[in-house]
Amino acid sequence: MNHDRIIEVSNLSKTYYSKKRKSLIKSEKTKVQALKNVSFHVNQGEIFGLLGPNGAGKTTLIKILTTLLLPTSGTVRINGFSLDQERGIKMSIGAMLMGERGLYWKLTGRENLKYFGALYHVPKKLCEDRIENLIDLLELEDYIDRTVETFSSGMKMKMVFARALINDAPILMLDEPTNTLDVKEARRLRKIVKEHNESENKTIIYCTHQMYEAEELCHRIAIIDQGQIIALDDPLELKDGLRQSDILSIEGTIPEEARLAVNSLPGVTSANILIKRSNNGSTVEKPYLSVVCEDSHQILPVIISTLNVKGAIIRNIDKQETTLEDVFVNITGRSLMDDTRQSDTSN
Amino acid sequence: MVLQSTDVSLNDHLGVLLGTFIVRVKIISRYKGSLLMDVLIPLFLAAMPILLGQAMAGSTAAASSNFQQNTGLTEANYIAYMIIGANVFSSITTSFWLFGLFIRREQTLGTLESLFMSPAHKLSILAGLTLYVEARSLITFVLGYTLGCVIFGVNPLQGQVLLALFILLLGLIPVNGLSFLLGALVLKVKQANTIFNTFQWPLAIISGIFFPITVLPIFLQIFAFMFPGFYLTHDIQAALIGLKWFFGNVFLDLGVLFAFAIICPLIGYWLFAKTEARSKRAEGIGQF
Repeated sequence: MNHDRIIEVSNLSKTYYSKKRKSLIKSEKTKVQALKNVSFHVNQGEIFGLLGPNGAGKTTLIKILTTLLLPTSGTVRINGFSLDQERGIKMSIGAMLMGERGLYWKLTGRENLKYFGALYHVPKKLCEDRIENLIDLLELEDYIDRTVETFSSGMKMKMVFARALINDAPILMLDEPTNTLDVKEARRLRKIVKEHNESENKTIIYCTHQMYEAEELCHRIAIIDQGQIIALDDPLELKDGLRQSDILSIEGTIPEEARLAVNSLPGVTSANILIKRSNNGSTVEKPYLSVVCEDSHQILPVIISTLNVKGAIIRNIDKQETTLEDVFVNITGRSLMDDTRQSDTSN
Repeated sequence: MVLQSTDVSLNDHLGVLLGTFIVRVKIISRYKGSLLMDVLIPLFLAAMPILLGQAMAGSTAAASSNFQQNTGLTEANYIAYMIIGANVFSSITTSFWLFGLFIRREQTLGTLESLFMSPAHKLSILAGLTLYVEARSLITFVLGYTLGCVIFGVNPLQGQVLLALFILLLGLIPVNGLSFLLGALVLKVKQANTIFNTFQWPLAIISGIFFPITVLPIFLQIFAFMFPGFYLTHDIQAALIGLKWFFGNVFLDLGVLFAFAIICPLIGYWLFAKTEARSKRAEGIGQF
């Protein structure tokens, strides 16, 4: 990896006002502070993850980096260009925002790619060659010549990804690129992202709220919450910060009173109710108590008896591997799956 | 660091312009019957005042005589006047609402952000759109006017047909320019249909499509004089059915349309660019 800084962001803030409906007629202006003094840099050839719950500010940040939004304050340099050199930035970036949207439904996949090639000033012959390569790479041959309106969500998502690659830009910005893809396709897309990074030295900004994606792909990860970067490091370092602690996952019926009692035990760093999601055809959500503590062997009997006294019914106890979710929970006390849309209300 | 040239050649601009034009043609061709409707709608629109005039007066000749007496347009063929008015109005409507509806459609599709993220100059995209609407208007005008004339028994080749087509193409440029203003409005209020429905008919009135604007109250006449669509309608009527040129001769009338063709797109684009910058400072252009 080359350590030239290809993206530099310093003290970036974004505030805007949005209308909040109070009744049929009345509304009030709500101040939304989407980003608060965000600073970071991305090295050339790096996969840089932006991890955070929905509404944390990831998309706002990506929109500023792609010149779709102007910041309230702060500076950005991308590939040597500042935000007032829009064309330079736009030519340096291939982006996949807004999920499966952003395609012309009445055009075929190929016609979409050709048009976006023209918008990015890709010469016609080169554009046709790239389209053929993308068809092979993303296995689009079965539907590339069908109109987009006939595509499934997954097909559209792959087509939007192909569109992001059509200008062969040095920087790729991918916002939740595996949403709506099935497990196999999502895995394949992550593999392609990784290959693009390794073989073509592309710099990639990868926005996700899926911790395993961030762990699998990213060289460094910024965890973003409520408009601020609350942690930034490589995934191992981030998890190492928690490794001296043990994490217990306790399933069952846990009343709030029992959680508070465990949370206040000596030797317990935090105890939070989180949601475990499993997907076997349909998504099942299971709440569990996540306990971060110093020495689980010693403290476990105390935790169990405390829970019993407070009326909890325990069904299963596991000792967990540290994940980025734990890092996030440890810092914020909330799960990555929570929606944390910011709405500071000052009228 | 990977530094790229940001120079854009004329070929690149032409590629965007042509690409946008082709994409629009392909999209409209896939809405079956859309072009046919473009041809038929002015026919229905013209049929109403023509048939109403005949019903009120008792015959075509009497309706024509009433129209000439009440409007002072003694030289006008009443039926041709209505057919021209309806067809020009159809072209004005397509051009005037083009950009507002385009912005709204792109917002809901999610392609507006994709367009704004691309390095293509917005003027190249707008030029492609304008070319598309000019071609569409020309085709539908020729077909609609001819069909209307055949059905209502008027000679479609009377007057200076080529001059009328030239006036149509020239006069639609300022109307397109004004449509950038509506694009700006749609970008701001994120709504197109209400604006469309509200302004559609006042626009018809001040364009003078079914009667000369001299029958209107003075304040509406002032609006009409500021609207290039009025001169466009009048000049095509002058070229085809021999109305007097508004400023006395064809060159002056064309000169005024030409001036509008320069000024309106500049003002429209300037305002659109300002609204775009304001949107970028707020929630962004793609919000809808």
